[in-house]
Amino acid sequence: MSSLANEELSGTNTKALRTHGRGELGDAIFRSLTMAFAGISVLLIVWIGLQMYHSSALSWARFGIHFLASTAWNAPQHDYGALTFIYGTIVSSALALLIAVPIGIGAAIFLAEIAPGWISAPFSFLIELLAAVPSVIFGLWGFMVLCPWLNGPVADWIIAHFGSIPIFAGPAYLTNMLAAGVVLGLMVLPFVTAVSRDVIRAVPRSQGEAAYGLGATRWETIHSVVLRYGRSGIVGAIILGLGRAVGETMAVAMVVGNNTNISTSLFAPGYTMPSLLANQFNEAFDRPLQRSALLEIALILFIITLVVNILARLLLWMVSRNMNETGLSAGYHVSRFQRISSLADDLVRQACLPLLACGYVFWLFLGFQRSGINSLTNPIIWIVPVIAGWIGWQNLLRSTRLWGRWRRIKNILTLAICAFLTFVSVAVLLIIFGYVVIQGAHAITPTFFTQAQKSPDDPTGGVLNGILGTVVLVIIASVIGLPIGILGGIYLAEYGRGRIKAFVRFAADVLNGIPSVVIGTFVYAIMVLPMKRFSALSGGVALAIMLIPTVMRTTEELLKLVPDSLREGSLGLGASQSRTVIRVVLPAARAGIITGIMLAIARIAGETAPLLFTAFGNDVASTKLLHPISSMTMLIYHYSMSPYNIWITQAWGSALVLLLMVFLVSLAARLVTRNQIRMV
Amino acid sequence: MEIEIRTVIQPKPEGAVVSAPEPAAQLAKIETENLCVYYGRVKALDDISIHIPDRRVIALIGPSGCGKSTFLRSLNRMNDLIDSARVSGRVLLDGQDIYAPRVDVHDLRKRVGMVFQRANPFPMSIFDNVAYGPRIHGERHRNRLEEIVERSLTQAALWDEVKDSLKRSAFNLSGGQQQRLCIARCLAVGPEVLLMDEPCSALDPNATYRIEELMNELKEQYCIVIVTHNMQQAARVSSLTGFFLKGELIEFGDTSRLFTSPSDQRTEDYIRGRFG
Repeated sequence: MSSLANEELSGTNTKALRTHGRGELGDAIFRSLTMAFAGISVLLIVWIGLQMYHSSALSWARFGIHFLASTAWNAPQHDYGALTFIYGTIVSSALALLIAVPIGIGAAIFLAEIAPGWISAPFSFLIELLAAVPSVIFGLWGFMVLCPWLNGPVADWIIAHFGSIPIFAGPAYLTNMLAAGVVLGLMVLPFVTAVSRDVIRAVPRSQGEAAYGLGATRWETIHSVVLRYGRSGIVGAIILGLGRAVGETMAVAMVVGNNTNISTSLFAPGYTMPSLLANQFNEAFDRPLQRSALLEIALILFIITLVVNILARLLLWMVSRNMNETGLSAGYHVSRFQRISSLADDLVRQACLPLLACGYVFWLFLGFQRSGINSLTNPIIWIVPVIAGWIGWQNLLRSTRLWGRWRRIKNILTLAICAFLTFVSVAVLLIIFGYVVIQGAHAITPTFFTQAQKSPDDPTGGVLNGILGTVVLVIIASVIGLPIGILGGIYLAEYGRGRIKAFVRFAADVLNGIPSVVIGTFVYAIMVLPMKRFSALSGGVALAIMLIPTVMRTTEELLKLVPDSLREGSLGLGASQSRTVIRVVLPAARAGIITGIMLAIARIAGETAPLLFTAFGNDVASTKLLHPISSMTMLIYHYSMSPYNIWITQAWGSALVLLLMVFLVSLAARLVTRNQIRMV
Repeated sequence: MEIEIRTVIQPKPEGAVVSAPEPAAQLAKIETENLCVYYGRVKALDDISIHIPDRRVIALIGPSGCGKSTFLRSLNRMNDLIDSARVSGRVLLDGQDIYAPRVDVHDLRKRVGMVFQRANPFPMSIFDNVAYGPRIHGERHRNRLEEIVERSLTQAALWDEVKDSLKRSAFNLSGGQQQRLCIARCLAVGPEVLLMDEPCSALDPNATYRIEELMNELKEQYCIVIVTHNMQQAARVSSLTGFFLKGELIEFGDTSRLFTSPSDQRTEDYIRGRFG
C-alpha cells in the first residue's frame, strides 16, 4: 500500500493512482473485526479470573488464607476449607502421571523411532482416539468395570503384600483414589504420547546418526541422545498432561468416592477440586457462603491450571523455536538447561543418595526390631537391594567381554518394552470401546431414540431428551463460537504480526487448557445467577467458550497451509486483502476447516461438567432456549449413578451413540486432512 | 580395468612407484567385492570392487547423487538405518565380511567411525560429547575417561582451545570447532578407519584448512576415506582418489595421476568441469 502512495507522489504517470479505494475501508473493517474476535480469547481468560475472584469474595472475607489450610467441609456449620480437595487433586494427578508418563513416553519412542510407518500411523491414530473418548464415558467404564476389578483381585493382592505401608492400607472401597488415578492416567496418556512423539520426531536426524556412527545401539541412541535433545519438550508434554489431569472432572467424580475427609490410603475414597464442584455446585444454590467457597475452589483450580498451562506452552514453544533454527542458536537455551540439570545431578549424587541410603538402613533396622526376621517378607525392602544389584551387575559386565552382548540384549529388551507399552495404550482403547459396544447394544431399541426419559421401571423409555438437548446445545454453541473462532483464526493466520499474534495464540492455547468445570462455574456466575434460572442458552454459551480456542487454532493451522502464491495471485489482480481471504484463501482451506470444526463440535458434544450447572438437565424433551435442557452426557452421568438396571443399560446405550459419533468424525477428519489437524 | 586398479592402489607410503607387488588382500584395510546397494528398486551403487589401503587419505569425488555417500555409508553399515536399503556383495574389513550374519554392527561402527557433513555435537558438555563413545562401550573410570578425552581432543587439534571449558555446552563452539569436536568424539572410541562425509562443506576456508591439516596428521595412524565435492580439496589431502558416476566407480587411482592424466574420458570431463 505504501509503495502505491510513493508512486503517486513521484507523479510520473499521467493517470493518478487513487488513494482511497472502496477496498481499503472494507479491509480495515474486516481486519478490525478479526482482531476483535481474536482478542476475545484474551478477554475471556482475564474475565474468568476476575469473575471468579469477585464471586468468591464472601468466602475470602470469611476464611481468608486459612481456606487453603483447612480440611473442614461442613455445610450445616458453615465451615469450609480447600485442603482435602487440593490434596486429592495432587494425589490423583500424581498417580495419573506415574501411570501416563512411562507408558506415554515408551509408546512415543516406539511410534516415532522404532515402528515402521504402516504400524506407526494407525497406532498413533488409535491412541489419539483415546483422547477423543468423552470424560463421562471414561467415568462410566471406570465405575462399572475398572472399580470392581481394582477393588477385587488387585486390591486384595496389594493389601496382602504391601498393606503395612500407609498408602496401601486396607480396607478397600469400591470407589477410591487409586481408581481415580488410574482413570486419569489413561485419560492423560494420549496427550503425553502424542506431544512426546512429535517432540521426538522433531529431533534432527543428524543427532541419531552421530550416535549410531559411534557404535551406539538403538536404545542407547534414543535414551542418551534423542530423549536428551527433546528433553524440555517432553517435560512440556508432561506438564500439559498434568494440566489435563488437574482439571478433569466427570471421570474422577464418578470413581473417586467423594469423601470430604483426607485419608492417606489410596484404597479409601477421596475428593478432588473439580469433582467437588461437579457434585455440590447445584446444591449450593441457596447457600451463598457454600457457593462462594466453591467458587473460590474454582478460582484455585483456574490459577493452578493457568500456571501449569503457561509453563507447558512456554517449554513447548521454546522447543519448536529451537528446532526451527539449527545448530548454534539452539545452544544458549540447551546449555542453560544443562547447567541446571547437571547441578541437579550433583545434588542427587552427593546429597540425596547417601541420605536415602541412611534412611533405608534405619527403616530396615526399625522393621527388624518390630517384627524380627518376618520383616524380610515385605517385598518393599527388596527394592533397594534389587536396584543396587542391577547397578552392580552392569558395572561387573562393563569390564568383561560380555558387555557387547549385554548391550544388545538390553537394546532388544527395552525396545520390546516400548512396543509392549504401545500395545497397552491401544488395548485400553479397544477394551473401553468393546465394553461400550457390548453393553450398549442391548439398549438400542426402537423407543430408545424416540421416547424421552420415563420411570426407571418402564423399558419403553428412551433418551430423546438427551439427544435433542445435545443437538440444541451444540447448535447454540456453534452459532456463538464458530464465527468468533473462525475470524480469530483468520486474524492469527492472515493479519496477526509479531508479539501480539504470539500473545493471542498463546492465550488461545491457555484458554484451551482451562478445565471445563471452571468454565461452567464462570457461566453460572455471569448468566445463571443474574437470570435466576438454568437454561439451554447458558449451557450453549459454556460450550461456545470451549469451542472458540479449538476452532481458532485449527482455522489458523489450515489457513497457513494455503500456499502464499495463491494469495499473491489474487492480490496481484488488484483484489483487496479481505476479498482475497474470503474469496480465495478460505475456500482453498474449506475442506480442512470444516472437518476441523466437526472435530471440535464432536468434542464439545461429549462435554458434561460445564453443563451440570448451566443447562442443568431435564426429564422431558425440550427445545426451549430459556429452560433447562438435558444432554446425552448428563444422561449418562445421572443414569450410571442410579440404582436402576434399565437406566444403567440406557447409559451404556447413550455412551455407544456418543462414542460412535466422536469416532466417526475423528476418522473422517483424519481421512480428509491427513494429519494436518492436531487431534490432541 | 580390474588389473589396473590393483596396480595403482599399492604405492608405498614413501610415495615411491609401485615396487614388488604384494598380495592385495594383505595391504587392503577395506576391500569391497561386487558391492551393490539398492534403495527400494533404485540401484544406488553398481558393482563396486575396490581396495582401500591403510594409513592413507582416500578421496571420493563425483557429482551429486553419484553414490559416493552411499558407498561411504555402506562401509560402516549406516545404510542399515534406512529401511528401504538393501546390500549385496561383500565389504571386507581386515579380510572379514562386515555384512556377515553374526557381525556386531555396534562393534563395527566403533572400528569404522564416521564424521558427518554438518557438525552434529550432542546437547551435552564438550567433555561428555567426547566421553560418550567410550562410556557406551563400557568405560566407567573417571581417570581413564579424562585421559581419553584429552588425548582425543589433542589429536583433533582442539585441546588447547577448549581445555578450560570442558564443562560448557558443545553448542557454544564455532562451526569449525564443532566439526573438530565431532572428529575427536569419533577418535575417542579408538577407530581404525575414519569415514568423512563432506566434513568441510559447511565450514569457512580457515576452518577447512584446519581440518585438512588435521587429516594430514591423522593419516599417520588411520585409514581415512573422505567424500568431497571440492576437487582442490581432494587433490590437496588425498593420496588416492576414486571417481564415482551414476553409482559406478569409474576410476580409482593415484591422486596426482588421476587429476593430471585420467584414463577415462568421463573422469577427464568431470575434472575439467564439463559437467557435474
